[in-house]
Amino acid sequence: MMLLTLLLPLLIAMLIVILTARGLRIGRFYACLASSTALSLSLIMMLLSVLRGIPAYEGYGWIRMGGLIVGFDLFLDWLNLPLAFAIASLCLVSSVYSFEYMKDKHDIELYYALLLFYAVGMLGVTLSTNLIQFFLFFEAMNIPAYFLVSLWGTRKARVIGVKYILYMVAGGLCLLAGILWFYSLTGTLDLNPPRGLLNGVDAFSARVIAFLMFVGFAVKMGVFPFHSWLPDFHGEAPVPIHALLSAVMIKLGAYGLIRVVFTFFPSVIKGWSPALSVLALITMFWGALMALVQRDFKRVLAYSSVNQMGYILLGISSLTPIGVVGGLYHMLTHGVAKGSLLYCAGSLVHSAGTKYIDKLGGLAWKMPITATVALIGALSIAGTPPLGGFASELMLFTGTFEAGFHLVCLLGLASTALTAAYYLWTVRRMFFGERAWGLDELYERYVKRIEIPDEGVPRPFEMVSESPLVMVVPMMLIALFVTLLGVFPHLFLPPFKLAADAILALMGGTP
Amino acid sequence: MLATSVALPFPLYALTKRLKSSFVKLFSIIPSTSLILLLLLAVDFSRLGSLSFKYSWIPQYGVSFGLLLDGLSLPLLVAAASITLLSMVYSALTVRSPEYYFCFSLFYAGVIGVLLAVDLLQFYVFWELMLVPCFFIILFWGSPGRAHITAYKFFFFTHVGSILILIGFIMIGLRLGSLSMADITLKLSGATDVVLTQATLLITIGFLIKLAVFPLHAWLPDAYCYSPLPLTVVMSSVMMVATTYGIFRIPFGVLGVLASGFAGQLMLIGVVSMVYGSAMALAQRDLRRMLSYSSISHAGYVVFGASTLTTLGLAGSIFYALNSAICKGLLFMCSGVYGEKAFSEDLEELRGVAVKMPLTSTFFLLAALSLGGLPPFAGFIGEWMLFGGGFQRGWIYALLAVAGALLTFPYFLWAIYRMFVSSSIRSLENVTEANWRTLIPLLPLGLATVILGVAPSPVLEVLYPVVEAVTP
Repeated sequence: MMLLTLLLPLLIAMLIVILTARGLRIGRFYACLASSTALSLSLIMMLLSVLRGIPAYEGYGWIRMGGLIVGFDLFLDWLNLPLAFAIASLCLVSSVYSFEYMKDKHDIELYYALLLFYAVGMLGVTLSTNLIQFFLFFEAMNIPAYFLVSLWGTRKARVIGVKYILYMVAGGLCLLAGILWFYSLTGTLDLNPPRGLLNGVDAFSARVIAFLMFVGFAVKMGVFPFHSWLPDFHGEAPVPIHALLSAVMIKLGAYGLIRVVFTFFPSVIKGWSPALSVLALITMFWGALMALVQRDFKRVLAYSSVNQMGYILLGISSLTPIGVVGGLYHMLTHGVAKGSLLYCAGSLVHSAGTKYIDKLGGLAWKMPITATVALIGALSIAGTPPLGGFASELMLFTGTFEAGFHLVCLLGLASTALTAAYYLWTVRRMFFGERAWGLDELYERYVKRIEIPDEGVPRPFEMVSESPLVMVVPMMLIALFVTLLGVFPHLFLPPFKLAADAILALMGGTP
Repeated sequence: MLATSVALPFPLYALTKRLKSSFVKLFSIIPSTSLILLLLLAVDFSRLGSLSFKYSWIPQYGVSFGLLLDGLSLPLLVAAASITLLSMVYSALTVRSPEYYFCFSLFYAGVIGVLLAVDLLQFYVFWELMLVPCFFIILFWGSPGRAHITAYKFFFFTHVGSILILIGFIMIGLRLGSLSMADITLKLSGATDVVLTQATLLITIGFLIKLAVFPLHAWLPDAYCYSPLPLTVVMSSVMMVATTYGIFRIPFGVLGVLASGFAGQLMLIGVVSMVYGSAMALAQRDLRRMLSYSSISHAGYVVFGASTLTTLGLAGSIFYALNSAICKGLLFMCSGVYGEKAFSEDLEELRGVAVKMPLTSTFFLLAALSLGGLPPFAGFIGEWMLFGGGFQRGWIYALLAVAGALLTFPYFLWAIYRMFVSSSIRSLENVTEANWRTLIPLLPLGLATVILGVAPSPVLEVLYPVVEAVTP
């Protein structure tokens, strides 16, 4: 069942690629239909396998040589369950959303095939049970991501794609070195290792391995000194892909951090906990300050992702039950809220033809639904009750305070004010305030062929209208979900609670 | 049965040489026959574990002629036979001279002989048989103007290597009174002395020249660039397979005790070679030259993995060599297709070619990602296993190697970027996708690297007993 979760999209993607390479274009509609069907089926398969009980587990063989056995086993427990569902559903949403958003783009069949490959890569990371398999998906998903952004991105996307791959390969090699070093000392590659694994390992090796693995994951997360790929790559990605990058892919770094580094090296992490909190704080401030000074809405959102990854790191590095739950829950609430904001950005690009904040203004009356959804998403990330972000931020700051990092907690709260500032200011400039003369000017330049923006077709202010239903309905559904996450947190929290308990139990067990 | 797979080429080229040029395709019978025979033998193999055949050749000096098929030679033989077959099919479209195929088949007979030899003298005879036809092919069918100098350079370098190997063999033969590999292993059993160690060193250096590891690599880029393309394909894949086999069989297998003495230095050479090859590849504009330098880098990986002397590292290294043979063959074939259909092998002029030649470029992408060590292809399996072996041996060298691996992907990325993402700088109007006849030899190789990545266990299980025996 879980294998089908990965196989179905993979096979359909390969089919599309083969057909396209043979010169048979199946067209936008069928490509979208095929990819959406594949993703819905994989969601259903996941549901079916979970229904039999959690943790769900399936074993398949992969590498076998004498005593060396690396399986291709799949599992779902409370920690990766929400993440896997979020990935599959957001990929589905992006697939539907792309139908309209990517309407006039080239090679749309390949785009859908790569989207499916990308989905398989991300799902594979969450379902993996051993380090080699985990690494396989963790690296493999970079290939479709690279092509998706390089081929369909805006402005300097081609060069930025190269930067992304180099960052990822470097991070990946750090992770690989950590994994293999760990393997050579302990002889196990299992993601749920037996207790007391590191008893025979000297403290120096343990520290270096933990550091190498941390760097590998931090690159993917976009934590402060390793974040520089993130705003560029996210900012120039096509919107449906940006939604996946920000909402789920970078969370996989956090997932890896907590699943691998935290549970494998509890004693090392306990020592590093204050340092990690400070790093998280720097990331939060850096992201927030950089977001304040952007004029491109998508870059604001990209820096906001850096900022929010800091929150998640802060929550999990507090190592208190409530802080970890908050950090994990924030992965979901931020992912969903960021998704809604990105689909709004796509809606703006699609209807108004630009993503530059200084060209927009007063659009709330032209695009009421987009404006509402954007406001809900922005308020949620800024931590306003009763939206999803408030619940998770409350918990993670409580956890930080409980862990004794009082100053960090206070400064973190101050950065929340910055978050609110850049979001509210951005939303005000785009949707409220005075009428956007910039749009008319842009349209004029477009008509006279002076400047042709590559993200969309500019329209004069008077002609801007709400985006088509294919785009608006997913946005509204996500906004609804954001609200539900905040109003009824007790409905969604149990899995996160169980996951956090399991992790802390694993960490507490070893000295 | 084993005897025929080697003996068959000899009457066949005598026969085919008399025939008209349109019959050159008959030569592809040779590798296909050995493939079929190998398939039949694989059945026996799965029952017995290893097959051998032996008779006395020069009894006065204890030299015997024998054949041995075990877990190490079987996968390499299959790869060598299939790649030779594919490259014969591939070259049948361009070259029609019987002499060319005569040399080609001789070369192939040399490879088969090397992979099956049980005796050092026999090994050396076939080793030389592999070298001479290559020299003549480069000399007569190489790029006009460069062929002579390249052929002599190639011959000089590899012949020096062969002579070092021969001297080493003779020293061992005199010291131990036997040239049979099995006897030598028995007689060594823990004994070390200066002469034997020196002999091992000479043999290893000989093999390293042929493998083109960093300070001994100078012959390789020219030989690969100015040879006719089908020869480049087999040199970069089949000849490398034979050389890898030689390294694993003789210094690490038969003389394992002695070779372990300088494993540390070999590891270092491996790392340096990895970095040097990658850095040079990054600087190339010509696709074939880039691929040539990347061969130096891959040779570094193989040497590094082998010198870890751990089961994981050795198995990973052989697997890596196997995959790199497959992918290198595929990449050189692709470069030939580009040269023919896109009229250039210059990477700058190939910008944006993927739009016009999607199938060829897809094969190129598969092989490049696999060699770059990106999952889920076979190159990744070999890479993590040999690095894993490195960490089991000692983390300092292993960390160095992983840092060196950082350079491996960028040159492929740069090529992929130019072909797939970047827009063309010249008109690609006349560029069309190659027809299916040209692409057919590419397909099995492309599939092989994916399949080996998804299901590596069959090959690894076959390799395991041999690797286990070699590991000290």
